[in-house]
Amino acid sequence: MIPPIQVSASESRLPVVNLDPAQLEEGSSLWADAWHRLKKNRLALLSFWIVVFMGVFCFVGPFLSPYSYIDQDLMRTLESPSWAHPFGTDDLGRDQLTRLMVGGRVSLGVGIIATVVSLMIGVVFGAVAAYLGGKIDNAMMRFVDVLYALPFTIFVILLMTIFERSILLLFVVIGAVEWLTMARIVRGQVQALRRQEFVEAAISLGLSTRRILLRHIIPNVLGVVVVFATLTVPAVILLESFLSFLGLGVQAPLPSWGSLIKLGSDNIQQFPHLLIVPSFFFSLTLFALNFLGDGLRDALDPKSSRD
Amino acid sequence: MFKFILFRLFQSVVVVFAILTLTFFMVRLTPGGPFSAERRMPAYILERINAYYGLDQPLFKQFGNYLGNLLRGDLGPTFTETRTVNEIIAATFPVSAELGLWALLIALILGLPVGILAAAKRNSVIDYGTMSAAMVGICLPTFVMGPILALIFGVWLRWFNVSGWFTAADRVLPALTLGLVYAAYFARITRGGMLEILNQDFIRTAEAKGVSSRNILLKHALKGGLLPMVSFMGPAIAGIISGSFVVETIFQVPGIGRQFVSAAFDRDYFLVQGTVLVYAILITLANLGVDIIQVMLNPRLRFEDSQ
Amino acid sequence: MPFLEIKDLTTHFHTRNGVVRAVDGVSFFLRRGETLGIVGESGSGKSVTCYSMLGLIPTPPGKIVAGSALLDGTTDLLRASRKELRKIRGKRIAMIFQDPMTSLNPYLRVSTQLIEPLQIHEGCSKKEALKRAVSALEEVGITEAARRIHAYPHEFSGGMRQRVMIAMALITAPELLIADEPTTALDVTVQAQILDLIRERQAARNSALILVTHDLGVVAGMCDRIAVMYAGKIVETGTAEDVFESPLHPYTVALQRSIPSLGIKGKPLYTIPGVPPDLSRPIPGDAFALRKGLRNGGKWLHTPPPLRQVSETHWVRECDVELPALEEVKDV
Repeated sequence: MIPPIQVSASESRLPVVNLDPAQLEEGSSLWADAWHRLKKNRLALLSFWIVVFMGVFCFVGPFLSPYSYIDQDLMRTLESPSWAHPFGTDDLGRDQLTRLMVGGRVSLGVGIIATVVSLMIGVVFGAVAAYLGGKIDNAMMRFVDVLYALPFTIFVILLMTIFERSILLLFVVIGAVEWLTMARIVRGQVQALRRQEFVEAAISLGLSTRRILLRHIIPNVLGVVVVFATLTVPAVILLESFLSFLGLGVQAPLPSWGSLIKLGSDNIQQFPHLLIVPSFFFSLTLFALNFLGDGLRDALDPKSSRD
Repeated sequence: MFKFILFRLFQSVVVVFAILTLTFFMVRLTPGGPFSAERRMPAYILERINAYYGLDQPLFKQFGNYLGNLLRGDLGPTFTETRTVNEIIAATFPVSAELGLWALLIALILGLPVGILAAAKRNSVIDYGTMSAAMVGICLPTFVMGPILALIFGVWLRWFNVSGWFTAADRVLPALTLGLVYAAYFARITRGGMLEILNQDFIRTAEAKGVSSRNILLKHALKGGLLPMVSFMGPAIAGIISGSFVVETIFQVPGIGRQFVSAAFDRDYFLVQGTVLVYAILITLANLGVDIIQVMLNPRLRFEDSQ
Repeated sequence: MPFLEIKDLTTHFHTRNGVVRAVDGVSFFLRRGETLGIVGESGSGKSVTCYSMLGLIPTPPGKIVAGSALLDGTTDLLRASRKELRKIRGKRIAMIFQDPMTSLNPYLRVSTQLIEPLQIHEGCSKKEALKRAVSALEEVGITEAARRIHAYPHEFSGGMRQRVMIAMALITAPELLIADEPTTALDVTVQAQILDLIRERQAARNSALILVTHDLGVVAGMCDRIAVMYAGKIVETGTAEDVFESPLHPYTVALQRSIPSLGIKGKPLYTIPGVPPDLSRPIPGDAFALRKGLRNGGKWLHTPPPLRQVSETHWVRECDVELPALEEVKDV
C-alpha cells in the first residue's frame, strides 16, 4: 500500500484536499476537472460558440453566396445595405458580405496556421532548452532575449515590403515573430515542473516510472501551451489585420478583415456601414477568442486569480 | 549597480548597431531598386541616378560610407523629395513624440488606478465591470478604435476634426485611440500583479499587525504589484510606436510613423534607415529604463552582482 | 474571568468541491500569561482557528459561521468591526507565522516593517520607533542591530528572520501572542533556540501564548495546557500533565507513540493507519473512527461524540476506537 500524500495549501487559505493514492496514479483527472470547470464558465462557453459560428460563417458561407469575392459590378458601387447586398458594396461594386466572409477565411486561416507554426518552433525550442538545462539553456534563452529586444513590427513591415507579398510569406513572418513568447513559456513551465516537489515526492514514493512522470509533466505543459495558443490566435489575427490595414498584408483582390476596415476608415464620412460591419465582426471574434483563452486558463489552472 | 547600468548601456549600443546593420542590408537586398517603379527610363539615366546616390558601389563600401556619415550626424538624402533625412526627422519626430507621450499619459492615468481598484475589490461588480471594459479595449486595436472614434466624435457628433494636427483639439482623438488600448492592457496587468502580491503571506502578516487596507495596498503591495507593469512598459512603448503608424495614417498626423511606412513602400533606403534608427534608439532606451526601474523596485535584484 | 474565551467557533470554506468544515464547534479558554498548545496534524483546523480569531480568513471562500471569541470578557472578536479589530491586531494580540521566508515583505526594509506597529498603535515618531525597534532586535539576539535593521529580509537567514518576526510581534507588548508553527520551517538546530526565545520574551512581558504545532515534542516543555485537535474538533484538552501522563483519547495516544525518539531502535516507526477525512463531506459521527485500518466499536458512527469531563482540568471526547498495538505496525 502506498502511503497517502496530503496536498494542503497554507491552512488559512484553503483546506486540505485529499488525494486517494489510486487517484494520484491516474493523473487524468486534471483534464476531466478542467472540462467540467470550463463548462461552468458561461462566458467562455458563449465565446466558444461564437468562434464556431465565425468559423462556419467564414469557411462555409462563401459557398452559399451568389457572388464571388472578386465579382465587380461597376454599376452598383458603394451601395448601402439592401436585400441584394446585405452589407452593401464597395468602391468596385463587390458584395461586402461575401468579401467579409472570404476576408474572415484569410484572417482566421492566417491566425490558426501561423499560431501552429509558432507553436511548433516555440515548443521544441523551449522544451529542448529546459531539458538540456545549464549552459545550453542559458545560451538559447539569451538568444531569445536578444531577439525579443528587436522591434519586430518594424522588421515585419520591412520584410513585407522586401519580398513579394504572398500568404505563405505572411504565415512565415508572423509565425516567426510569435514563437519567442511560446518558447519562453514552455521553457519556464518545464523548468518549474522539474523543480516541483511533487516530482521528487513521486519519485521517492515509487511512482517513479517515467511513464507516470510523463503523465504529470506533459499534461501540465500541454495545458499551458493550449491556453497560450488560444491567446496567440487573436494576437496573430491582430498582426495580420494591422499589416493589411497598412496595405502590407495579402495581395488585393484577396480581402482580409484588416483591408476591409481600411476601406471603411477611408469612407467614414459617407459610408459608415463599410467600417461598422467588418469592425464588429473582427472585434467580436477577437473578444470571443480572448475570453475563450481566459476561460481555458482558468479551467486548467486551479490557482487562478479569480479565487 | 553601476556595473549593471554600464553593461546594459553597452548592450543597448550593440543592439542598436545590429538593428541598423540588419536594416541596411535588408532594404538593399530587395529585388529592384528604389527607382524601378518609376516609368521605364533609359538605362544610362538610371546609371547616373544610381551613381549619384552611390548605389552602384559594392554593398560594404556603401555601408562604410553610411557609417562614416552617421558619425558626422548626416543620415543621408531621400529619394522621393528634396529634404534630407535629417530634416524630415527633425520635422516629424517631435509630432510623434508628442502623440506618444499623450497616449502614454492617458494609458497610465486611466489604467493604473483602475487596475489597483479592481484588485482591491476583487470579484466585485467593479472588478468584473472594469476588466470587461478593459477586454473590450484590448479587442479594439488602434486601426479599429481610431476610425470608430473618428466616426462617432468626428462625423456624428462633430466635436473634433477627423484629420490634421493643427489645433490642440486635434490631439484628442489620435491620443485617445493610442492611449485607450494601452490603458486597457495596463489595467489588466496592474490588477494581475497586485492580486499576485495580495495573495502572498506577508500581506497576511501586515493585516495581523493592524495595518489599514489603504496602507496594505499602497505601502505593502504596490511596489511588488507594479513590477509586471514595469516589465510591460518596454513592449508597451514598442507597441505605442507601431500603433502610431496606424494612427498617423488614419488621422493624417504629420509624424515619423507615416514617413517610415511610406519610405518602406517606396524603398527610400536612407529614410527607412533613419527612421528605424530613431525607433531603435527609443526602444532600447525604453528597455534600459524599464530594467533600471525594475531593479529599483525589487531589492532582491540588486544583489545579483555581489553573488 | 479568562482572558480569552472561545465558544463553539465554526468556520467553513466554500470551495469548488463543496463546503469544507475546517473548524467545527471549537471551544477553549486562556488565562492571562498562560501558555496553551494546540496540537494537530495538517488540516486539523488548528491554524484556521487562530486566523478566525483575528479575522484573517479571506471571506469569499471562508466564512465564520458560528461562535464567539470574547477578549477580556468585553469584546467579541468575531463580531467586532473592522476598525476595532485593526486596533486589536498588532497591539493586544500579535501573531507569528509559520514560514519566515514568505511572511516578511521582501520589498520593504526590515526597519520599515518593524516600526510599523509602533507607528500605527502608539503614534510614535519615526525616530523614537526606530530606537525601540533596534533594542527589540537586540532583545531577540540579533547582533549589530543598529546597522542591520536597515537591510532587506532576504539578507537574513531563516532563523534570523523568525527572530525578526518575533521582535515585530512583541514590540508593542501584546497581551496575547499566537505562534502558528513558528519552528516548522526552520532547521532543527535553530528550532530549540527559537522556542526558548519565544518563551523568554513571553515571560518578560507576561503575555499569554497560544502555540500551534503538529509536533508534540515542541509542546512538551513549553505549555501549561494543551488542546489536541482532529478534523476540526477538539478531541482532548487538559494540563500538560494530564495530556502527557494520562492521555485518554486514542488520537492523543497515537500521537505520542509516533514521536520518533520514543520508538525503539531497529523497529519500524509507529504510524497511524488511514488518512484524515475529507472535510468537504459532512461527517455525522466520530471522524477518527472513519480512518481505514482502525478498529472501532461502532458506537459513535452516526452521532457526534460529546466531550466528557474527566477531572477539573481534563476533558476528552468520547471515542471507542482501538489503536493497533505497537508491535502490530508493519513496514508498508
